[in-house]
Amino acid sequence: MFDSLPPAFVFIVAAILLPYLPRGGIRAVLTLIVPVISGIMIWNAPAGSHFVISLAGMDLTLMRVDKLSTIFGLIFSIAAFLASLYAWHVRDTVQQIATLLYAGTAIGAVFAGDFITLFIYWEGTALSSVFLIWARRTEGAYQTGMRYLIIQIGSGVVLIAGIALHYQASGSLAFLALTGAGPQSWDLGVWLILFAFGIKCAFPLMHNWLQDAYPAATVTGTVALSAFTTKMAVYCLARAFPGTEFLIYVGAVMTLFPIFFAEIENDLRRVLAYSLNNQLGFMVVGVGVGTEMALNGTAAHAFAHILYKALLFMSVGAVLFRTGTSKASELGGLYRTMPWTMMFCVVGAASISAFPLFSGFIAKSLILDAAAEEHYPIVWAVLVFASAGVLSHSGIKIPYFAFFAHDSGKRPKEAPPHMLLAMGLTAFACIFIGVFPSTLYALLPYEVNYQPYTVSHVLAQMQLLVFALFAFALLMRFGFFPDEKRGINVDTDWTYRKFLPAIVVFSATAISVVWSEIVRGTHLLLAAIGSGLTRIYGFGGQAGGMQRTGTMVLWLAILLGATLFVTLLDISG
Amino acid sequence: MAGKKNDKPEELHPIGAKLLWIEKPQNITRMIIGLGIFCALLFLADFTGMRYGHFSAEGIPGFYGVMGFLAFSFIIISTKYLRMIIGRREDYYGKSVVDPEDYPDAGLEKREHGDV
Repeated sequence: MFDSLPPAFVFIVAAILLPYLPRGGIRAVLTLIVPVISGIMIWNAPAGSHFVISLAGMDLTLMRVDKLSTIFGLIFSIAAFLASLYAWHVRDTVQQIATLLYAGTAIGAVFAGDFITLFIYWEGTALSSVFLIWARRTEGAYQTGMRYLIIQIGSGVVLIAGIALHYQASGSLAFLALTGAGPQSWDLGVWLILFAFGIKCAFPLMHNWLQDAYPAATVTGTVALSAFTTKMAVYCLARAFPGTEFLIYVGAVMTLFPIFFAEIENDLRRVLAYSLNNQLGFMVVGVGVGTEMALNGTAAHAFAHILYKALLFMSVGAVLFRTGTSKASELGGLYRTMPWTMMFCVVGAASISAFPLFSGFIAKSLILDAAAEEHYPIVWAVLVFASAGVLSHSGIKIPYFAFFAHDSGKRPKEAPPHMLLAMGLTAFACIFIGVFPSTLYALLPYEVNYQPYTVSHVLAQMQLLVFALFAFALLMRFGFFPDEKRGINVDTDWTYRKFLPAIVVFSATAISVVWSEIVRGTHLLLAAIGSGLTRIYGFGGQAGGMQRTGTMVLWLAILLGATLFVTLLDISG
Repeated sequence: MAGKKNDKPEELHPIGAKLLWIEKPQNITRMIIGLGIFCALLFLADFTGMRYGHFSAEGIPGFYGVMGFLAFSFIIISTKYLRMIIGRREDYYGKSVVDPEDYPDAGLEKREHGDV
């Protein structure tokens, strides 16, 4: 029984127990032990569907174990452990419970074998994660959290609507591939389910909640946020929509546009949020291509990405923790006093840029080669371009502006030991996977028949990156590199935060003006009619005065004459 | 800059102090030249015939190098103009965002190097 128990339960039970433990180290220890237990449970869970319970006539599968769910479950457990270790100093009960529930529900979603279970955990991640934003406890964080929650819950509402329609159409709640005979054959329910996944996966135009919310969370909260929600959505896409061709193009767009936003963004945690969006694009391309190699690439990239993205968020978080800011314009020269954090950041940057011997290289190659093998030359070229873009914002911008560039004069103390330990372990994992790719490849959903370290491949990647680095050096030297300055950049959120409110205000103003004019006009009209009637029938009016009897007799005679005339006409007719 | 007035040795981490050389102008020039030589070597390596690919364009010597150089330059130069269009002040969205506010000190442990 124990080996097929859903690991989500362990997180949820721990979250319930945590407030009853004495404050301090014991609670932090619990947040560390739970992910370890979860990882062991997932590692030992036998393949197949377990823990099927009957609820209101529906069979809910709480533990569907196969290689795809196992690799996501494992990396989520690892991420939860690293995030908790990084947050060892946090004594805020709200954040500790939220992190446990957030990781637990994300893992629960990964092992869900039916859509109802998925929906429950799907909303669970939204409800638990928002507290990591609110835990900053400022006005801005509160409002950002509300926007985040509305969009996250909204995605769940769309999901349940899609599930209901899909159930009506197909009679099945099983969380399996929905691709059928291609998008032409999909009913509305399937489209809604895809739409719900797309919101959490930050598809283009639905992406902005990510860049809005992640930089607003606490130092430690952002590390947890970066791991779960979006990769849970990637898992769901890989499960339900593998080989859906248009996702290739959706993913390609996702790899492109965040590069430009990231490049001019001043808050380094938001730069990383844009970069996260760009990395999701590679995974979505893998889902779209849908071959075994491509899906392996998506899973491998999700695994590697969670580690190096967490590492980058940790290093920028450590800077924020010590200096109070993560803005590039306020930072610089920190290698002097935070050299370890700097080195770990550089490892993360090298990993995300996919330098050979780092984790990004052995994961991203799978997706690029899968796209090339299936003959998508334009998509492949976009991905190569985007790979240079990754170097520009995550590979260079993050470490350069935080730790080098111009000296900010700040001399912060090195990050605390537990943060350094968390970063060190993550950095070690990034390099280990890069040097021994077979360890990660063994976990992938399909058999891997791929050799990333060929001379040709290493040469190509080194050329791409080193020439791009050279371009950076020259642009910097000759003053073409844009300065970091304070400010924000508008994105699609402008539509619902400025444009739509402006439309509402304009419409409301227009309606109220028109209405008040109508009311005023009606008043004037009624007044005019009233005064006209008074003039005619009122005292002293034409119809209101005394008339002579003779006048009445005369009018009576005219009336009778007219009647006679009409009668005569009628007879003759 | 190394040896700048504000770089007091007691303010630096021992590893940080050893890294100060990277800010010396002559070293920056050396690094750029070194990078250029590395680029040239990688370009020449393409003529050994060890590189192949799925698409014919990939076979052109220096394909990836040119791609990397141009992509990077294009991104940097184009974003200068992008910022002119979409850049706003930090308080553009008023109090509804965290950008204009300071991170609350309760969640931080600000320490200067040398503090105990």
